Amino acid sequence: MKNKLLVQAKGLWKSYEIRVSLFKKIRFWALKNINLEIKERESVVLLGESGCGKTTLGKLILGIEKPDKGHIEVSTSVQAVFQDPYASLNPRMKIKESLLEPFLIKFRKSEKEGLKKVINLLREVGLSKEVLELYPHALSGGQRQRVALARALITDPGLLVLDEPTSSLDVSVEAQILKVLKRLREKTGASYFLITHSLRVAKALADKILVMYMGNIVEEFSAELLNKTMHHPYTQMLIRAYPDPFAPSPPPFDQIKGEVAGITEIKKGCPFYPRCPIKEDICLTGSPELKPLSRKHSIACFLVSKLNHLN
Amino acid sequence: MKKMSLLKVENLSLGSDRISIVKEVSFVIHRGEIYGLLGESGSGKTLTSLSIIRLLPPGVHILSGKIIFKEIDLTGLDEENLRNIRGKEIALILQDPLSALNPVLTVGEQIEEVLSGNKAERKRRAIELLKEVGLPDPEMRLRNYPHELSGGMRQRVMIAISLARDPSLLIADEPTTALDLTLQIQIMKLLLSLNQKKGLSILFITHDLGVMRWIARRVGVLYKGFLIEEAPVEDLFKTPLHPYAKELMKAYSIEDSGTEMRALNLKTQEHQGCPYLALCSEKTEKCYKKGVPPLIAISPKRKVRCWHYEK
Repeated sequence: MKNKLLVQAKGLWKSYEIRVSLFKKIRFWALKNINLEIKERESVVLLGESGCGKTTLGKLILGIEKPDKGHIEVSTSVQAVFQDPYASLNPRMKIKESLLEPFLIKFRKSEKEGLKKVINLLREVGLSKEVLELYPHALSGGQRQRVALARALITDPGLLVLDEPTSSLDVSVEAQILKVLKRLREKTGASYFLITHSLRVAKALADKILVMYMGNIVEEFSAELLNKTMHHPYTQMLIRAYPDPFAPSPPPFDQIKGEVAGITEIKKGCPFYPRCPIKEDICLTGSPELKPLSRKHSIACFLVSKLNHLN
Repeated sequence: MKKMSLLKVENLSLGSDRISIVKEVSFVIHRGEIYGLLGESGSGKTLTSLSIIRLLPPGVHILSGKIIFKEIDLTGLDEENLRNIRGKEIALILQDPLSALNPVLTVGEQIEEVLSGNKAERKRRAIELLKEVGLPDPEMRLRNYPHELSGGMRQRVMIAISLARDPSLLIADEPTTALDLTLQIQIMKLLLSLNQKKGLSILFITHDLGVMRWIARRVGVLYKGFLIEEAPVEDLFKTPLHPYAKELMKAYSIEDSGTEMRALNLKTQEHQGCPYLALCSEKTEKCYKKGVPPLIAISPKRKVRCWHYEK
């Protein structure tokens, strides 16, 4: 049986105007020609570094922003969990109120029924009833993030947009939250759109990984293919730059060079050209399109034939 | 051959009048060594490092212990003498280079401020320093303001400033945490090469196991203000001894972590015993009966603060 499409986006473009000096504004394209599909029960991870446009794409799915071009169809209810649990909970509302409010608005049921569901969900995310009467300041970062997660789930959304949900947490707390996320997905059947810069987090939760660089999706692949197939030069760089504490040898310090071009210095050609280790003249002729190599794998690179397996 | 020690921290306790935050921490940094302090938020790693150059936040002071730098006890120095050490002998770089740099001064002005000699000499030396830290087009960059630089470049500028007086010890407090993966590894490489080429000793502080593994030579693990384990870096990652260190390693490789329901007690009971008692999965009768375990030497190079290793 084929899973239903929850999100379908075609040719999304999104730009912002940025003032570079007193009299000069430039148009900066945060997203360029993005195609995206999220299926029922699927966990899609968007991997990229700061400023690549990953949060903007999340906002388009949530309907907080509208695309300049292209269209996006979302056929389910969507909820969000953001990076900073200190900012996403109202400090003047008790946890109980924060959790009940979306329930009462959406379902128009009694508070008693709501409370029953709230307590159930708190148990799911690993919190006890005691937190109901507390204010957010009394909770730790990890506990707040659990509350934020419970609040997102209380309206039974079909899709959760998780924007760096663990980046502000300690390693041991991060592992706990990721486990909760994993279990909840199996239990509720909700789809995830997880935005992260961490390969470790991506590995833990993804069915499908999208790699983004300067507003372009440069690679899209099934998570099980990670490291087992050829990758876009940027994906390769991300994999190599990850310092794995349990690897037998140090990361290849010499192979990672350069940084993302500033928005004022963007030139024609492949966005990764300035940093690419295998670049050729053809790469300056335009921006490569995402082309499928197989059903589970697409790469946007002019030199696909030159790409090697990592190992 | 006996290694020369550069910095010796002995039984250092920090805190306010009412509570101690860092408790009897001792470690030695040898000349030319990179020593790491590993710990999660609130473990006391930053306070420990700031106490060395006595930049503690208001209300926190040194309760007891010694900080011996090149045979001088820094805890006994007055402000004036301490000023001859700060920046000149011991330099500091922090996590967020944007707040550490002055936004209204150019890069050149901020580096030259620290240097002596006439204008031409200072400029020449500033360019030299920027070259040393791998900033492209150093002559041009001298005229830039911090906001015109990327995160990675700003951190390089901070490192250049810290190197200006040729210090013998660099305290690096989470210098790569705010950076993207591909920049993080470049800053790691820079610090490693400064250590190898110039023999710069570094006290490296991070919560990131991957970064710690590939930069430090010896590591001290902090938990709730206690140094709970110290070991050469390979040994620590291969065979952690303390239950907390083991848990940390497991949490990092998300998959194996079996401790989802931990750390949920809203009230962490204060008791007189082992700091890890409440969360420890290996605790026995003994741990409840006895007080805080001493730092037990397992071998000449390894120490652990856990009753299980008592002989």
